[in-house]
Amino acid sequence: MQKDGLEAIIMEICNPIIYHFLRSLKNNSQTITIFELQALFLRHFKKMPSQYYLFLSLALFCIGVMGVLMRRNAIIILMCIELMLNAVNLLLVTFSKMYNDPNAQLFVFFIMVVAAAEVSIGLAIIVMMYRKVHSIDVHILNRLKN
Amino acid sequence: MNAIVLSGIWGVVMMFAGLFLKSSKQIQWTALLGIIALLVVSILDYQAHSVQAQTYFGMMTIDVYTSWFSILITACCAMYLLIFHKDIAAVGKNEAEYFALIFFVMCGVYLLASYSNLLILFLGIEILSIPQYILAGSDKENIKSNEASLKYFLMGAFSTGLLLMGMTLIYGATGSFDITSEKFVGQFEQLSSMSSLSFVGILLLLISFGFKVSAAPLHLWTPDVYDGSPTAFTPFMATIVKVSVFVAFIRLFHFSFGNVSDAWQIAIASMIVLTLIIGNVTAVYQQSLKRMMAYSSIAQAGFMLFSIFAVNSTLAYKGILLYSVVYSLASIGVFAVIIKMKDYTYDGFNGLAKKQPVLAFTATVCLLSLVGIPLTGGFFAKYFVLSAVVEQGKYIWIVVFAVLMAAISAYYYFRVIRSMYFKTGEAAMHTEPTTWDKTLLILNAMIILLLGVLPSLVFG
Repeated sequence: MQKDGLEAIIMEICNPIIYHFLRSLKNNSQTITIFELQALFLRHFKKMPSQYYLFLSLALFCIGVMGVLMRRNAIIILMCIELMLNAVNLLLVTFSKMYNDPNAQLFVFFIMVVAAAEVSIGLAIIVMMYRKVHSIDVHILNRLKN
Repeated sequence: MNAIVLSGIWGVVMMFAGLFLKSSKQIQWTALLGIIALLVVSILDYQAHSVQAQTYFGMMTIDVYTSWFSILITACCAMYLLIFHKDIAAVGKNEAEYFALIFFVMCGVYLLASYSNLLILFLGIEILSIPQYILAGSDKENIKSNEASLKYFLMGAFSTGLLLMGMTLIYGATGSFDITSEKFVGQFEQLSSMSSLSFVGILLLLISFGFKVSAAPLHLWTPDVYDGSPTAFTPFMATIVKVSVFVAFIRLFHFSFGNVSDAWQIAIASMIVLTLIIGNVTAVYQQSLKRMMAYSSIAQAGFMLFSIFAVNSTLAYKGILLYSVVYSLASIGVFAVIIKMKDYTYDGFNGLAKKQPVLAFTATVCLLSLVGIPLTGGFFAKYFVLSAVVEQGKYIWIVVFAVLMAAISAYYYFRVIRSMYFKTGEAAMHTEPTTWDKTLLILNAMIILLLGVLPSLVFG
């Protein structure tokens, strides 16, 4: 594959999909196979430093925390908690790859199992609450106090 | 560690007991049999593991300290079940399931007592917490119980997320989940070589720990949950569960993070100050005794935090052992009297001493122990945790502050005693105590008095 200066910069900065999209817009003669695409992806992501994943999962985690603190709907709070747990899962997989250590990926499975158990209990509790007060707004709990 | 296996199995046995045993009495006897068997097995474990041993692929470390704690906490749970088994069965229709959940919680307690891998710590905390969400909401017709359950669940799941993030960041810094491994220990050898990931990780672990033991400023769920849950389950949550979380985190913070204590000690110090102020001052203004005991459990958590605060001190371990036992027994004793009453306000206790002298006497002993009066176990418990801080030599002012706060706590505890002995009234009973109840309560009070004279009995 020949790359001129501009294309090389695009390849560096943007992700491979955009690169290929641009190539196909230019109507180059070369056809793209799925294997090429995959190879490009892998090459690109291997270069991607693990800090990026750290920032991504911390951002997801913070979105989850803000959601728990600010939303009023119990089910949305539950979804935000799941978002927090999944951010942790992503980070664990990243570290696992970084250290070449399978223990962290095992940890992810445990988190998934426990999260499933927790959600089943949580939804049951929310249903029980809904039957009583016909609302899943958590602010209604403050009105019940004493 | 056979106690872990047995507690899990007995939980399943209790669920089947609900299916096959028709009378409530038989189910209660099965549960009592289970807890006695658990006590025997944990004593056998203690004799078998006189040296440090690693099991479950090196994920758990069993030594004398952990197996001795298992015995003590099982004994406290046995006392709780013996006193409360009728009240637990009276909460709702599914009595066998309540006992099953209590056995599952005990499984989590054993995991927390002997983990040496962060995975087991996480599993232990979850096995401990998830059954409690159900227990809090087990009185399904009562809206306060539903509220308690939902609140506890949302807060608990949120703090689990924080705990996991903390563990992951620490893993990112060290590359190992095993707290005894070289990589893990090396990271926390000295403050200057610690990476910033581990700072944030320790802080997140601390926040999550504060949630679980209801330390201020993360205590806001506690009064509502303890007040809303059925009275039969509140003492279980406030005592056995809380002290086992303490024992779990004291391991982590002393053995692993002990050398870098400058990084987190100031956070614990501010938590202690806030917890003592908020717990004690708010408890003064409560009208309901059950809610007062919830705030009192926050205040007592402030005292127990001292044992984590005093790093590398043998007094701290002795202190947390004694505090766990004495605080558990005293709270169980007070709740055992509360649950017999019709009216949970202070006025409801007026004239109890004339009507039920035994109940009033045992409640008085337990309350004095919670204040920390000499000749009760509470005195030595407070003495050990505070002298651990003095021995450490830093932050002496916090000890003075704690003693002042203990003086405030005397006000609201003595107010109950005044209602029982010096006021006249009709203390209306919900259920009349039987001779068996009275015997157990007296036994409970005697153990507290005995520990006030011979505190070395719990050091093993």
